[in-house]
Amino acid sequence: MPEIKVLYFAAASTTAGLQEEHIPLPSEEPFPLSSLATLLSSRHPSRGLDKVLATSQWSVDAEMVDEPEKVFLAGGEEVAVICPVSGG
Amino acid sequence: MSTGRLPLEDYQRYGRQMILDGFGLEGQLKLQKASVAVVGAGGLGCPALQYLAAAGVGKLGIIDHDVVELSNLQRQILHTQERIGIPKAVSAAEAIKQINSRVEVVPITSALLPTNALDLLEPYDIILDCTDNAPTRYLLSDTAVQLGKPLVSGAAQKYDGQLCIYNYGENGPCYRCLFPKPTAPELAGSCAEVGILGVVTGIIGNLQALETIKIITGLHEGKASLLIFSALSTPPFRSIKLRSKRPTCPACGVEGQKVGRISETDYVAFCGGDRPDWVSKGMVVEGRTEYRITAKEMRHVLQSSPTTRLIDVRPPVEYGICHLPNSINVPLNELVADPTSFVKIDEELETYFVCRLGNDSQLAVDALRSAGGKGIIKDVVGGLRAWSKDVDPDFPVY
Repeated sequence: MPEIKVLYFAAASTTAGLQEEHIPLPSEEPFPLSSLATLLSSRHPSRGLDKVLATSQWSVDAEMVDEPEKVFLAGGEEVAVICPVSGG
Repeated sequence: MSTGRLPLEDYQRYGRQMILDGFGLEGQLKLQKASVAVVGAGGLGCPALQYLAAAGVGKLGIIDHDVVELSNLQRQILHTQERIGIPKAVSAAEAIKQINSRVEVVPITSALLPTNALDLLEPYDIILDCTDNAPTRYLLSDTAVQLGKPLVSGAAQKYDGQLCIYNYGENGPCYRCLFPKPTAPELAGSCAEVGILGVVTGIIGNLQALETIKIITGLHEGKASLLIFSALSTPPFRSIKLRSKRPTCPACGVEGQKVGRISETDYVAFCGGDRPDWVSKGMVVEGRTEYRITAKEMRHVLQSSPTTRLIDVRPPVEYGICHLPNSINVPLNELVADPTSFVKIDEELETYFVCRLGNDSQLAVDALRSAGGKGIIKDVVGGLRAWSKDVDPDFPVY
């Protein structure tokens, strides 16, 4: 199966319990970015990752995504969870 | 070429940066004429202010309504032990005077609010967001958009940081474009709750100063990007290309401003209400009297009852900092995931939970009870903080 690399920062990293992971896409078919939150939450249940993802943005290959529903992952991409950080 | 002139002494003071290609006398004169508002004189604001002052920015406004505390000094490097208890804006102004007495410093010790933000920030060319909470970040973004000023924004938590210039350049997005929905307050986490390595705020604060100097002197390419810093990752810096402003953005979109008047906007409500006061919440007994005991009662139980187990539900790293001698460590997330495999149900035993402030320990009581736990299952009101205050003043508070 094609794989993607997911990067977690700040609250996303806290709730996922890791900083990055390689995950296989469910099929050979292009995978909609808009379904990635559900996939990641199911891999890391019960720690609040779903709530963090709800207010986060995606970057794919170091570019911020404007409309996730128009982006499909074929494998090989580096997807980062960009969550708002308010500390300082 | 500029025809301006600096005071004689400044040629020596700023010579090292003036000889840089692209900087020159002109760059120095621009800095001298510039005014920068730094909102928040904490972990980000201190290093940003330090470098802006040293570089010779003409006027620095410092807005912060907090006072210096001992727990700030690990990262807020303009403050000193001697200045604990005085307002951070005043402390930072004093530190700047020692670095560069000719910088005009305006310390403002009132809180930045929707009702005063436009007035307070209007006199400055550039605004630095060095704050520590989401409502103020949205307020600053809306204000920067309305005033048409760039917002150099830094943020940090744990080992990670972010840097971005909002509302900058031809089509640069604002904070709302990027993050239209705020994170729930209980997930946002403060430095006190989630921790911060001081040098991480230092790195981001220095970068804020750098970007500000680039904007003032004309060295910035004019395109905003989002820089993500993660101290433990390889590579530690990642630059994310930003999209243009969102046409539908309620603050800066082409369809016009829809957020309403800043002075009438409740930013705290927009961000889901006040950040929880975990110290006070951990002390609440009302409605749970039969499930909670005080620290003093806990001491009595530990001295008199041999069939007692005391379970500390903090993360292992915090348990390692300090713990009560008879306690065992079962982190809350493990306990909640599978209560009875970690804490065997035994009605002969009295079970007591403790944590730092007395919030997680209540969740532990509920988890064990709903998993079928019977008999005495209680937690310590106010947690180890209360233990230190009421039972053993030698027990560390962190």
